[in-house]
Amino acid sequence: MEEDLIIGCKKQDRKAQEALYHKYSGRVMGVCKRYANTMDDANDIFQEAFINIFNSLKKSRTVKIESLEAWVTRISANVAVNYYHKNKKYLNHVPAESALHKIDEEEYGHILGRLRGQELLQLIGGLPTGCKHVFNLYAIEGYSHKEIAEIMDISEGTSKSQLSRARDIIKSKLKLLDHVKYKRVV
Amino acid sequence: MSNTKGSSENEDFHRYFKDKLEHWEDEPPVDGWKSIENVLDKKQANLTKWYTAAAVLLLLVPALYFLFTSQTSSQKEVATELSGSSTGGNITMLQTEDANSASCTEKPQTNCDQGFSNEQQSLAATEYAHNTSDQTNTEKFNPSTQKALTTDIAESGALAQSSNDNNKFNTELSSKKSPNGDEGSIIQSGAMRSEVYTHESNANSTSFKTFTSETKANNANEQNYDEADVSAKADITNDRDRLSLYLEDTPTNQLHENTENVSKDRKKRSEKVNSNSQEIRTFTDRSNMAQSLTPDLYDDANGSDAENKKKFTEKADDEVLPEDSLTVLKSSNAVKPDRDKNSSKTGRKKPKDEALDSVSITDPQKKLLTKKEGKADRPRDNKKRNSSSKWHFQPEVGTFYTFKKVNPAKDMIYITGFENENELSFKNAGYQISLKLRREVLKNTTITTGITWQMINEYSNYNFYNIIADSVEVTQVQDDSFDVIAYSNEANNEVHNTLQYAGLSLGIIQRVKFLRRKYNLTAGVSLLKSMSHSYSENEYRHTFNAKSTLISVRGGLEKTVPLTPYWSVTVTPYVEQTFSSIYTNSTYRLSPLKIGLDIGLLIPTGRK
Repeated sequence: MEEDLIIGCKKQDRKAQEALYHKYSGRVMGVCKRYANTMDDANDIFQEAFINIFNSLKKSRTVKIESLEAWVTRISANVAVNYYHKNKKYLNHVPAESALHKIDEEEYGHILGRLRGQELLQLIGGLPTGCKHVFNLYAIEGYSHKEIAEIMDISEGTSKSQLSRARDIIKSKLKLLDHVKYKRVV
Repeated sequence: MSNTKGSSENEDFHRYFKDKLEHWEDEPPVDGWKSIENVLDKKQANLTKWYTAAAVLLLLVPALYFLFTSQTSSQKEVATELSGSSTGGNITMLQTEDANSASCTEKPQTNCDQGFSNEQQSLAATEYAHNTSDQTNTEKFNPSTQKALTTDIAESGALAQSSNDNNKFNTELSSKKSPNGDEGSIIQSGAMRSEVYTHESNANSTSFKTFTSETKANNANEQNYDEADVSAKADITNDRDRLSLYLEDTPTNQLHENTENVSKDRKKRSEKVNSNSQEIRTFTDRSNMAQSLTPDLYDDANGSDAENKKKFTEKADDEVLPEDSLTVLKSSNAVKPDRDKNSSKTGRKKPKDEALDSVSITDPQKKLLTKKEGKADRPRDNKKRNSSSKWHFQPEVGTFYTFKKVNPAKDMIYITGFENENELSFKNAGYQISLKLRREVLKNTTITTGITWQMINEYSNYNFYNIIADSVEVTQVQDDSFDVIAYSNEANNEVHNTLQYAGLSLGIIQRVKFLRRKYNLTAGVSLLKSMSHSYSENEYRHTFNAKSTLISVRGGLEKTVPLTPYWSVTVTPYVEQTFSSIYTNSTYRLSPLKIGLDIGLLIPTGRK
């Protein structure tokens, strides 16, 4: 089934593209929100990510991708990082509170249903942009510091320090949220 | 120990997030797909624009190149023809004061482009210097009596007086005249004038001509042809005149006065003519021609001079110019002086056409005058040029209809029939663009080669069933026999495929005459390579793979319709058969038989 989608997207068949979109749009949006500072940025990254996915499939010489979901996620993460890197939005950091507040307003019902996951997203969203990207890439996407350094065009040391800083901020936030202790998941 | 513990804690911390967020999904934007689709469409549209622009550029660049190449080469041809002095043009000659040693130089035409582009009336201007030498005459040179004659040949043939500038100019010329008078040159000048106007009249040219006759005393204004001749004859014994023709548009009202004065002087002059022992040359049709050109003036002047004119004409007929008298004639044909050398030395009569065409003499100051070929002559020359071009560039567009010869293919599908078997549909119409070069190798044989792009559209609506039965019913008839009935579900499928090919074409065109009409039979072969293809979404996903290479032959009938003197339109109905199937490893094999119509533009490259 995935192979058919890939073949269709290679031919730029609109139906195949739409099918792929509907299949992975939620996943891509989840990635975009993790990296974005605002909802507007998340929507922009979302659109750019899919355009990038379709272009990559069109240029791809093979129709066999080991895990299409992982490939889509990886491309989305790269697009998100490049989005801020390209637009130099590291300097125009939006305070986390405003972004979180917006999410609170728009998706209050979802937060109730997905409290823990949403809380974690809020915590990540409250991080400064650089720290957030490094944390996402390292802790969730599974990149090494070397890879992160290449992607973000920074040194490995900077990547490590940003990760450490991100962890500290999240922990302090957890204290504020009364999640003082975290358990080791067995 | 503490580092290890810290590291482990961090990993746990990260894993906590990873487990919760790695597969996290969120609600996409409501109009997310629409916005993405818009972006994709916009990109596709931009791509189409670029392709279109590239195609237009591809057509325009060679077309413009050949267009300008053709134009430039045609100008060169005109210049060549000018040097041959047969079709006129812009010729400037330099005449020395001594008519016997007249020489000429030819100047290249500098405004050829403009002259050919704006379709102006061609102008022919010839200047004669008609100086009088004061050897035996009793008349005194009087510059104030110099007059110019302007004639609009095409419209009325009226003569006009030249402007003051021309008078002044001729005065200057007169002051530089040779001390050695040349008898006979005057006669020639008169004859030359007649020749010039005969030529212009025959060519239906609208040229403006002015000539000024510098004479002494009272010969101010012989302004029609007879008068000019008579006055010229009169000057044989006494004067060496310089006749000049200028490009001038001057009023004609003073000419009547001039002609009256000339009529009064005619008796005196005719006596001199009769006493002239020189051989003279004239043309028998001079009088008629002059009358037709300048009827009013002719009538005015002719009445008092009929008798003398008659005598003069009779005497002048069939005469051969003496060596001296041919000097100006020599000059007039001096565009190719070598060719005319013999005739002038031997006194042989110059061929009339040759003399008429090339008459163009400048004054010593090298005044540049223009003489352009007549409008009526140009299409003939263009046709000649067009027909003489062996290389042609031919952009061609066309449409065709594809008939199909469907063969069974090795597949697990059995096609029971086509629903659109006997119906014509635009969905089967294709398009073709070609850029060709043609060269005439024999009198009636031309070879062509070029590049071709074509788009084949194929629409099929067929019924089929799968070879593998959907179900089988087995019935035991007897103890050892069974009836097996296979059931297959017949279905209908509709496909609309588009294939684009590009490649090389080679052909031959043979001109034949049939039923008193000439036709061009065309035959050719094309080698095409698949460029792209798109297949419609069919319900059963039957496979259609385009064959990478196609070879096809075609035969047609070409009709050429002249569009301009340079360009022609070709209309070519044709039949084309492709040898192999356009599909490979597909549901069926399809060998298209195309019937089409190409419309092309035949542009001569201008190279012979």
